[in-house]
Amino acid sequence: MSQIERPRFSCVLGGALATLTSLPRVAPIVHASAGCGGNLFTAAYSGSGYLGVGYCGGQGLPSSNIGESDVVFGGTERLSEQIRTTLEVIDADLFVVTSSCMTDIIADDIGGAVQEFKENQKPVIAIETGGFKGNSYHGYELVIEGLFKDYIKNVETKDKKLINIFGVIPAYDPFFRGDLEEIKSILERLGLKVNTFFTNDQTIENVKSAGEAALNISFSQIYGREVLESIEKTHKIPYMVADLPIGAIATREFLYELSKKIKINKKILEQVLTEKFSIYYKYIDRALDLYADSDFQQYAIVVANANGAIPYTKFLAEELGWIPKYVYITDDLKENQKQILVNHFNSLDIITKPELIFETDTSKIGERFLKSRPQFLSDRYVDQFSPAYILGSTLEKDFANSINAKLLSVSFPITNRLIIDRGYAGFRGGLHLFEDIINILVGGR
Amino acid sequence: MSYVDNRIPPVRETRLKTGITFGGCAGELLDCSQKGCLIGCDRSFTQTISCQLFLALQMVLTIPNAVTIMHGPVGCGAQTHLVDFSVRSGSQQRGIKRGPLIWTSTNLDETDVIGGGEKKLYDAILHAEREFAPQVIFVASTCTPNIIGDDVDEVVNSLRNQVHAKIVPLHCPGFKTKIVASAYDTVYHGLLKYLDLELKPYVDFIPLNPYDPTYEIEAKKYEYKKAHTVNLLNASSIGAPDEFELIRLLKALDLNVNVYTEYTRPDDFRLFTQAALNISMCNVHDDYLLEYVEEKYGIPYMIHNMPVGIDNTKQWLLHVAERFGLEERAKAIIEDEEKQLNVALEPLKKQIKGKRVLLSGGVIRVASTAMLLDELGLDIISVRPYHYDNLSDPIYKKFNERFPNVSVNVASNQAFELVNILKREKPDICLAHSASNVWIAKTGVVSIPLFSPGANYFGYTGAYELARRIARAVQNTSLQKHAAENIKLPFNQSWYEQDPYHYINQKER
Repeated sequence: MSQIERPRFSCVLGGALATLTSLPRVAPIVHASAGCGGNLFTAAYSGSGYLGVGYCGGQGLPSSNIGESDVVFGGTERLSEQIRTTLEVIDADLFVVTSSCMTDIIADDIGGAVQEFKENQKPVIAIETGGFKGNSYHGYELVIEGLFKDYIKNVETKDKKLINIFGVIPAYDPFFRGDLEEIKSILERLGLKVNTFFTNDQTIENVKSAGEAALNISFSQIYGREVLESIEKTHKIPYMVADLPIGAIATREFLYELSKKIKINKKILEQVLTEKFSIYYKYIDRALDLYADSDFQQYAIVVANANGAIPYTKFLAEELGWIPKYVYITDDLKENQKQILVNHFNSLDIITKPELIFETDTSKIGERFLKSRPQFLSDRYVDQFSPAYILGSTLEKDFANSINAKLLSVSFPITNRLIIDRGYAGFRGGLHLFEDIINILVGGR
Repeated sequence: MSYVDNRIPPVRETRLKTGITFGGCAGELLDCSQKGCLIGCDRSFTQTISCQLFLALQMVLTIPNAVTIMHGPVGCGAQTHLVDFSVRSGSQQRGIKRGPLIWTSTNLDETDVIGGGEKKLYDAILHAEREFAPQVIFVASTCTPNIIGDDVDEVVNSLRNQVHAKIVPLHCPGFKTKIVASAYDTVYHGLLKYLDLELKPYVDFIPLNPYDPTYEIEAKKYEYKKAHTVNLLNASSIGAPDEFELIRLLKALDLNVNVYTEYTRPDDFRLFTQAALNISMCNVHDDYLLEYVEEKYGIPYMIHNMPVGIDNTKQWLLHVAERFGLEERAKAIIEDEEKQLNVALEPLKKQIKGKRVLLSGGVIRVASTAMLLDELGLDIISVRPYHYDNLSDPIYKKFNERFPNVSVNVASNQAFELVNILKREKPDICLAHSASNVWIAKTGVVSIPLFSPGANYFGYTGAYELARRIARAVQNTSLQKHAAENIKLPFNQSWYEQDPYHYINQKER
């Protein structure tokens, strides 16, 4: 992969740690020099709307803190000591050793190191997460893969109502908790059971029971897809890929898709949809006064990761009735991954077809607009890109200022918002997004 | 030969007698520091902290018209998103106009680990030059290129003639040192080697003509100005309000003050040698830079503790004044300042008197702030320096005289030891390093950041501001109380029954 200007993700270890520390009562044991855990936490923290240390994250992370002599002579002895003492000090249901660039390069055998502890009452597993192996999204994939390989049992008889949700990446999809909560609550209304793994109601039992699920859903067209494919073989769980449904229309579409993959009582589904739509549009009803009187329709630019870009664009086009013009996907993707997104994007029925652009470099995102500015400020008749609105990250601040656009930060990194249980998925999430988008327009009043 | 002549700076472990592990009282710590038994002392259970890369970045990212290249995998430096805002507001407070913080990552992957990352770095430097035309390009070299053997200096040197920007390599692999403060040396090493610290004739000034009739008077004016100019050395933990307070006090002595090295425009580094004295604000920041500058340019320096605390500020200011024969004037200023401050502090002191306090963070900062809080009438129960080295001895000797029984726990955060101590000591308030405060809050104790670039801690106004903040904080601790009642910490119950220093061992590593 080539160099990147202001990348919006960290490394494999960074993604793995964000994921592991978001799991219920799971304690990572970082086998790295003293800085990796702390710095990568800060990376996730700073971009995720301040997702805090949680149970055992941040500078609470047990870490072998290896030094130069360990790099020269091997660090497994220090790791064994650290695992032993971690089991004494830390109260967790599952311990996961994660490696780092230096320990992978010097080939420390972390898989071997955890063997010593295989009789331990609380399991200790190992996942190789050397930072140079990829970005934080791949770190998420490696954790899911590692859990299914070494922790989640393959159960023959599946629970026909149980669904696992994947593809919403802790920290790097900053609204992951709120999104997952809403999806779960909708699916539960349909009589399904849901493992989200990362919401506050989850316990280690949800992780354990993942092997009994009848269906895996991935809300990412890219991340976790290959892992779910292999789980389909190893654990006999079929999977479906969908966009994260944002708003009423997208959620209805998703639920209809879902009903093709898992048995849902059709009558209940229709009842729930009728009820949810009625409530949803009663809220929209009361927002329409402001919206219509103010002519709040905007031209829009979406800047987000591979997971968020398309769902946000769909919401803007289909629900809000805006004119999205450009959709930037900021992840460093392989050609085949780009192709998946292009094909998916082209298959969508978006009224005003925006342009899809892959761009990892932050400064380049604004470039085309600087070139297309009117030559003279005194020009009287210019069909400007205005009123303009950007759904992006906090990094788009300068770009937004340069084209006089409004900005709501929805994608990583978000440093100008604290995100607690906010989510944009589902019905409630759609209303929240509507509200947050408009609040930027009226915030100065 | 000086350290600066070497390609790579030394780490603090080799340059100083230094350690990150100790539990006891200040007297024992001083004894241990003398004997060198802090060296090689470690823990068998450790928690992650940070590394010299992060601190080095926090320093250089403040410099305007610069681009920083992280030479490493994409995670190294990813925390820079958090720095963007503080640098913007720090620039704004200092009147510096600037755009976004620009940094790139060479994004080393598996192929590079095998084949080397030099080509990518070469391209990244050219890219930075072409896209952003900066005055300085910093190259932060991380763990991976150092293990795989990339020759960063060679790449940089091969490009010097093709690139307008000054290219400054910063050697900051995290695994080489557990002392985050090594970053000061790393950054200064790069600045000293690769930036101009002297004025350029016809660029920065027109040389005086000896045949000009005004020559003598102009030369005297120049000499006078230089003889009354001081450089004040800042750091990322020292914010603009602190700089302003010290500038205020130094200006009261009729000194001209220039502030370095953070937020310094690249061209302004050439003014660095136009001063009569370099003044540090902290014992463990600047000796690497200042000793070299004294040796090479003949500019003396002063490192005398941190001007946090009423007496510490007095001593600091007197030491500066002494260098210029201005003691009497300084004494008058100090008397006046203290008089005003004491009147202002009176009502606040009543509110915070006797509050039991724990301090956790930078080695000089915790000791100096403890002295301030003692002056304010608080009860110091424990200090936790991030690391300890022999540069800290002078202040800890003073500390030991004043607080012989206060426990000293040398630890780079190590939340597990912190929480154990909190549960035992139950302080009323803590002053703590960033990333420690959350653990204190979860234990039910209110805390105030030990440092914060947006707030004032230094000098007389700093003493007042801190007293004011403490008085506010102790008024209502409901959030922390309810949080502690409802949030489970990740430690086994048995840990709280153990000695907090249980995992400290003396083994040679």
